[in-house]
Amino acid sequence: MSVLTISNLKVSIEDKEILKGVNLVVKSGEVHAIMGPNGTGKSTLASALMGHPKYEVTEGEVTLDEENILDLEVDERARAGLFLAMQYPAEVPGVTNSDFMRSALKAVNDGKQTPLFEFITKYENAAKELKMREDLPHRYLNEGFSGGEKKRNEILQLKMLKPKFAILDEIDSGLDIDALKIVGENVNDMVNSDFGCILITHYQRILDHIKPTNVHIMIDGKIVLSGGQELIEKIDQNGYEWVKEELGIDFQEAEQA
Amino acid sequence: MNALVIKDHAIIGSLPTGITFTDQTLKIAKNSHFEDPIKITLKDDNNESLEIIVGESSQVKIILEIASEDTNQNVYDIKLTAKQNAIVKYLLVCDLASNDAKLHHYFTAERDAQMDLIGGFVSNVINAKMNAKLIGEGANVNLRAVAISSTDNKQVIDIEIIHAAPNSTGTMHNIAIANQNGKVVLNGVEKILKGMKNANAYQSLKGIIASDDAIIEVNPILLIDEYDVKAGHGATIGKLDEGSVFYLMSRGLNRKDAERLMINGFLNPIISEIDDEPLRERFVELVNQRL
Repeated sequence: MSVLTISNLKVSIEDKEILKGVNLVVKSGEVHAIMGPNGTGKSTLASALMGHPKYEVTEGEVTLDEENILDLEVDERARAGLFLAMQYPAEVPGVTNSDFMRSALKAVNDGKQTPLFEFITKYENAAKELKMREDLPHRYLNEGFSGGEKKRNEILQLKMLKPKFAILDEIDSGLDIDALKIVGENVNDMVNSDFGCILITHYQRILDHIKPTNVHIMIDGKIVLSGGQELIEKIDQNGYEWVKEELGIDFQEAEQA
Repeated sequence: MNALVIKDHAIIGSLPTGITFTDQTLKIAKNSHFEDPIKITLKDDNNESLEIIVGESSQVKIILEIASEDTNQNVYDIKLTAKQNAIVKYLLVCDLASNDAKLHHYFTAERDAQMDLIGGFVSNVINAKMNAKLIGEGANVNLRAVAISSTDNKQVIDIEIIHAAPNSTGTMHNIAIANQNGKVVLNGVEKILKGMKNANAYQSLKGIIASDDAIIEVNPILLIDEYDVKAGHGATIGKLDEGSVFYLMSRGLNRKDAERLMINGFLNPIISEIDDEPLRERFVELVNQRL
């Protein structure tokens, strides 16, 4: 079992403080949903955990099984067992999905190459479970993919790489009902005693398919309320206004950074 | 695959039917259709000139490999003509150790001929010219060149397409990659002569800088002396996209492998044209040695 611990994490972009002290502990087998209005720092948390160069950590600590991951490069974090399913995955022309996937698998398995036949079988099965096109292995990485295809490709990579923890950054945005169901079920199937997940969303729909063990509400760069699934219901019916009143905090919904 | 080796101006081995070789001129008979590519190797044979003529309505793919360990001055003159209605695919892989190499290509496309021309340059110091002239109506030339420079390499690549016939189409897509203190100068010129109505010209030049000391210069030039034409061009120079590097690294690839994968991706449209597997592997290896 693994533990991801975020303590008093403060993050800035170009000297503007976005995260103002986030605390969160995620264990294998748990699914933590982080919800909140636009522009409150949810995606910043996701990118900062993975080590995106644009985000500067000014204070705090993040450990994965006691190892301080903030000292690690992006790729070292990945190899330590962290995965970020991105809100807007990059398109990489000329690099086929299968070549990329095979290189990435080799990297996370300490340089050990998966035998080709075993790789193809696994990849094709995973792609089938996500109902992706059959020519996927030969297509270039995310190039010309629809929004939904890109999101499913993120989950496909997640299934292949089998990290200890995944952060899914708005994996549900831009998905139609069918794709949402496929993505949700595939993520749900992954959760076990070796895998935990942080699910960042601002809609509730995905939570019909993935049942979180913990729900957090993030406002203005901080987690202001934590609880169970009852919070989802409350947000669904009342939005976030009640949080303001209940906690006596004031905030304005901003455009996503 | 038909493989020919030319050394000291003579063919080593036998020629396939439909091909003749005299006076440094390789002729492909008209109406011949070669399913398999023809690979020609110019072996350690500097001061070489070679003319290739593809006969009327013939269809062929030619892979020319010029490789030499010789560090002295090397001069190569290559002429390739596509006769009426011929369809020619031509791929050059050029790996010269020379400290002063000059490589000149003259392509000629006659009426309704189609030429798909690719140049892959992984040389030390080279001045390469690829000059394509469209002399027949309906001629179509698509030219792609890629040059990869690394430590102390200096490559100057001049690509020129001249429209000397109406209704002709010429496109060029060129990529320069420079690493370490390598330098690439990429000049793309497309010329439409007076009276060549309905000509179509398009050029794109792309420079990728893989190190702070690398230098890339791109000069996209259109010279048009006729009103009734379509023409466009674009040029970009930049580092590898950091967002893409981050994406690949977030899957466990270190920076070097991520950048390598991306650069190989840019070259993939060219690499995939090299049907000859040992040559393709060698080209990929040469490229990756420079990254």
